[in-house]
Amino acid sequence: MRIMKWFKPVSLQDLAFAFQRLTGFILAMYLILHLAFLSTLSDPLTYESLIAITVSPTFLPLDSLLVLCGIYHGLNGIRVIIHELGYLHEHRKALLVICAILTVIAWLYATWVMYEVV
Amino acid sequence: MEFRIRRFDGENSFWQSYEVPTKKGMTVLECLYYIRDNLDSTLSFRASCRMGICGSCAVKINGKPKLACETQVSELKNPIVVEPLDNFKVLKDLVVDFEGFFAKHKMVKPFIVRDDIDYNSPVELIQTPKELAKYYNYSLCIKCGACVSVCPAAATSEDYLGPAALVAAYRFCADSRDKDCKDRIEIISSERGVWRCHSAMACSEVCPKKIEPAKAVQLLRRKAIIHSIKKLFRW
Amino acid sequence: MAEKSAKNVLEPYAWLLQIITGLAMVGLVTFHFLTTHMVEHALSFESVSLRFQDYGYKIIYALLLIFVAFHAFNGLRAIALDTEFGMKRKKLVNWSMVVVFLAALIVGLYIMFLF
Repeated sequence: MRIMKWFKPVSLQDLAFAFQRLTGFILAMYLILHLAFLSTLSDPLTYESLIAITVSPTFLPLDSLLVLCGIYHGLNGIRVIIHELGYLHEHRKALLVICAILTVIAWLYATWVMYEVV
Repeated sequence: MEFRIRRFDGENSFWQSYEVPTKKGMTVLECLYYIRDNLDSTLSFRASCRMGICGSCAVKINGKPKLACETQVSELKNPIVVEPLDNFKVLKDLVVDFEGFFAKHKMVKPFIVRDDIDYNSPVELIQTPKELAKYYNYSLCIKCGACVSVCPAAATSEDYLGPAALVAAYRFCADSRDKDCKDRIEIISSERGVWRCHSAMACSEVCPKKIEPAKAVQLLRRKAIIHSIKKLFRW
Repeated sequence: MAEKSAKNVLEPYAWLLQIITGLAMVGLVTFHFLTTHMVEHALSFESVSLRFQDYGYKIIYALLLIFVAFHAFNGLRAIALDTEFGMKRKKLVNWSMVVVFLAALIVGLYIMFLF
């Protein structure tokens, strides 16, 4: 499969690209699932029984990983937009490091929020 | 040092190892010449200037595309793995097919377009240092193909113009002497043009001339966007 | 010629909108995450229906829905067109993404107008 070449990076820069593509795909699939799930709102009982399963400590790690995908895709997306508008190409490595650090911080915070509430 | 070379005889691809007596200051290209002259005369590779100007000898060395003539063996780990460039059709051993690469290059009109050139009474085309600086860096491209070989978009889309051709397009669009960039913009804003770039920036990472092809593509994209907005409002 | 102008309109604006929706979503998705995770029982049927009855929430969620659907399916479209397989079926890819985008909007709006 030639598309596997998207995921064979030669540097950190295209490793970031590979993850952007992967997380984007995961999030798009989640969107479909999310909308399908919310369709059950037409029947409160079904919705409540499903939400009882998904909002539970066993599901939290999966939820946390999904949030990681979202945070990475968003922050790395901002980085890519800066470059795609033609700026800061000379500082791309620094920008990538900043982006990675912010992703980890935001993810830890989000995960903490999720565990606190549940 | 051991050289592990990925070879191709037209039908089969196979690995072959050679032991090369290296000394300080030797380049990978010199070792390839040593192998061909002393160990195996059937080994094929491309090379010409031996000094990083012609762009013929780009190969994948230990997983990254490099100019063989500018890569010192003393900087590499043993064994040295040499492969042909990715994203190109291999013709024989380390020699790849550049036909499509140069065809794309030609497509973007890599020359100055003017309608006032009079060969009977030629005049100098004056340019300030500031105007020169706008494109000078991009004029250093030696068409070695390293950028295309690592581009994820080029890997899956054969007709994607690719970073090298787009650098050439930007180099002439940014030249103050060029008077017709519109044609070039039309070509590069097709769906096989700048829109296939997703800023993986692998090209900029491996360019042996450090000319930042990724930046050229983005600046070209900016021109394409402005062009299409103007076209929409018929300015 | 028709094809030429079509591709020249679609690709640049798709790219521009991808950036605009992407930036807007950073704010909207963060808001969405915080409203559903900062409060206890935020996902119970009662809280969801309460939120949806509020017009402010409704507008924000409608915006989020439009942006997220466009961004997701335009992104998938770009991925598909990056391959030879997809590029050979360009029209099919473009139209199926339009259909999926509209379907997502209809489903999303249906959910919102349940309340």
